[in-house]
Amino acid sequence: MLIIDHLTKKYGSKKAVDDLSLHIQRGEVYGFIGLNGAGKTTTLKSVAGILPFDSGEIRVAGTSVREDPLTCKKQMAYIPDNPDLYDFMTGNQYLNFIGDVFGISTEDRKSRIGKYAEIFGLTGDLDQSVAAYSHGMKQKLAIISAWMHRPQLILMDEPFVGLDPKASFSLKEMMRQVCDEGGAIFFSTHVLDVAEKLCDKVAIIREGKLIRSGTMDEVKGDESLEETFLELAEDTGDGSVC
Amino acid sequence: MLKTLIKKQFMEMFRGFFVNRKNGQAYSKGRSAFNITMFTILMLVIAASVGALASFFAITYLPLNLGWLYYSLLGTLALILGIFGSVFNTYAGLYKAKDNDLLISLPIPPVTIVLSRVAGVYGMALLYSGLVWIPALVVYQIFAGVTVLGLVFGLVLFFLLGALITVLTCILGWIVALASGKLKGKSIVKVLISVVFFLIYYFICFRLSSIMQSLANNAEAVGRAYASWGNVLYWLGKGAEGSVPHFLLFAAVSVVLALICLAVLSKTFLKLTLADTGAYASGKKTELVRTDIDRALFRRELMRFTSSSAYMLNCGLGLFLLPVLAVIVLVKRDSVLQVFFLIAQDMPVLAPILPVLAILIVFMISGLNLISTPSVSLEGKTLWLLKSLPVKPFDVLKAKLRLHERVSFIPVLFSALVLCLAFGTGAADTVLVLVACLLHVMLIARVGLVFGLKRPNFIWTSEITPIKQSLSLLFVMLINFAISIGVPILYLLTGGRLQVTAYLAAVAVVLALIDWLLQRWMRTKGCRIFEEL
Repeated sequence: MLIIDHLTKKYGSKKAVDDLSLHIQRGEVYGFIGLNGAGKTTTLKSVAGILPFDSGEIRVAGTSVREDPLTCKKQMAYIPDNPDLYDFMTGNQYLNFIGDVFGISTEDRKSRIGKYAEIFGLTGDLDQSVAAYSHGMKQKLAIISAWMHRPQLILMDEPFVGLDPKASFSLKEMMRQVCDEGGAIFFSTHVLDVAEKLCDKVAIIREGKLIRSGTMDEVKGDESLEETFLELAEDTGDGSVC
Repeated sequence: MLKTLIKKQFMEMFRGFFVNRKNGQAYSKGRSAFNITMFTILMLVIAASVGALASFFAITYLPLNLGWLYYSLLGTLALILGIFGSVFNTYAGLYKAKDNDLLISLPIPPVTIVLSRVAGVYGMALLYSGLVWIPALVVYQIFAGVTVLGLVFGLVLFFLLGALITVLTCILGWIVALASGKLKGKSIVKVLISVVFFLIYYFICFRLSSIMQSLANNAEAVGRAYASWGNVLYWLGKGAEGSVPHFLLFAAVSVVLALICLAVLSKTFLKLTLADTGAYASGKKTELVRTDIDRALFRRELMRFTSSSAYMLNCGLGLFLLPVLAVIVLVKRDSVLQVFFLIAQDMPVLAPILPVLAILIVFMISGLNLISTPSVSLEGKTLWLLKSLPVKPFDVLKAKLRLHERVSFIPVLFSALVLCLAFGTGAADTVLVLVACLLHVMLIARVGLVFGLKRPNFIWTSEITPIKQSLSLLFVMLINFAISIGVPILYLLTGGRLQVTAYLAAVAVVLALIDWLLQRWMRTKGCRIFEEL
């Protein structure tokens, strides 16, 4: 579903992402973990087509993000770590806008908005201005908009931040359902317990370099993910890539 | 504390000199020096042209011993320019800044926050009014000779005039904030309140100018009628000439008004700011209906425009003034015609194209519509959305242009048509004038978007920064001014050898050609720039 091949992204002389390669298959929930500034957001933004990269290739369902970004974007959805949405719209106006961009029929958008708004308890707030939303409500709105067009690949940057426990639970269910239906999820998180329970595969990144990736068992072995991550994060050596 | 906040306020205003507002990276010292030099040159050019006007006034009034009238007239001009420069910023700057919540949450007294915000307004007032007052002061010293008292009073009065402008603009900001409490979300009503205030203010100013002008023709009458002790501008003029009592009177009035204004703003700041956090129920359910991408993008732009009174006022003022112009021409047709015929007597070559010259006023006023210029910067932190969605960059840019054009076309056509009818323009000329006006709207939309793409600013805490405090806006305004003035000047240079109809057709063709070239640029380079933002 997603192939990241030797991705390198520099900010000036600093390499934010350094020769990173990852393959994410359909049906996989893929976790992406690393310390602050490790390069997770840069990688996700590059995949989402928001950030031009210096070298390497990113393919979504076989299509190059660099060569045909529109086709890629039609198949995926991206939720940033801090969802700055249009303050001048109401929740419904925002979702309607997203529906228009993806060409979702009136019937489908009504039923999907109704379904997801109900799940997140946002139904009564959709005619409020987005400016009035809390961080958690904006996050819920961003999630609904991402799920609305049934994307094959969903990219999420710290999706659980700001969500209440019920919404977090619902999101995890929804993530699993996307993968069960043949889609894929690639998300970054600092909540290692969630990653350990939810992810089929996980990648650990440090200073822009991939230091370990694979199935949960391959990455953590007999230790907990937290212990493995802390060991790898503190390791000043080159690290090894699985 | 106050010093820190004021420093922060001014850092944001002048940040563009030192930091790339597209990516937040600091410029090199050389680039910063270049930016400051270019800005200084621009200001000096404007000041020099005001200096030329001041020289004309000095030659006229100083020999008649009417130095105070010289200062009063230019003081009025400085007041008008200063108000224009800051009047529509004040509400957004005081009550809508994004860091209001942060500052209120900190242990800072409201009066300190208000003072720092007002300092920003005061800075803008000084910048704009200084463009008139400083050249006026210099020219006066050249023509009348340098006196220490006159120079010192002139300089102090510059700062006091800035305070007076700040008071007037803060009153408007405060009224709009008060109204906002009652009219949550009704941006258009806030705009109308501001426009009415604006028109009343300028009506008074114009009346004042005409009274002064007529009095200036009769020195006796001036002495009798204007030397009363109830005219603030008279005190200003006399004070600048070196009269101690008048100087003190003007200073006292300015300072007292400023103190009262500060007290009122501080007392009501928390209530008004916290009451206007944007949290409101729209009360209207959105109909979930499918539309195409073009329409969705256009609607998004329209929603942004109509949701912000600051955006509408600062970048769409022409939309409100054009119909006012048309109504004035309809109601006062004879007086307006009389003015033009008087000019025509002085410049016979103008007579055949007087109606066309009058119509060019439409260019000037419609050039106040700068909707497309800040539209890229206004994406701010939400830019990620457009970039992550499957929309073509050109579709986004097209929607921005369409908003500018669609909201401008009707008022522009209406006022141009009314002017043509009032001046008895022939059918062919009328059609050409209408076409030229439409092409001019398209041109300003494109020029504005070019500047918006080339000089974007995504890092701001108040939307006023891209909407008002942007060099791009100034450049587009200057370009519009050059076009508006250039069209009649070029005609004059032909010495009347060209038929008006042919000339209008040529203007339309040239405008269409430039529009086409800019559209091509937008499709290619403009899209690439947008992709790389």
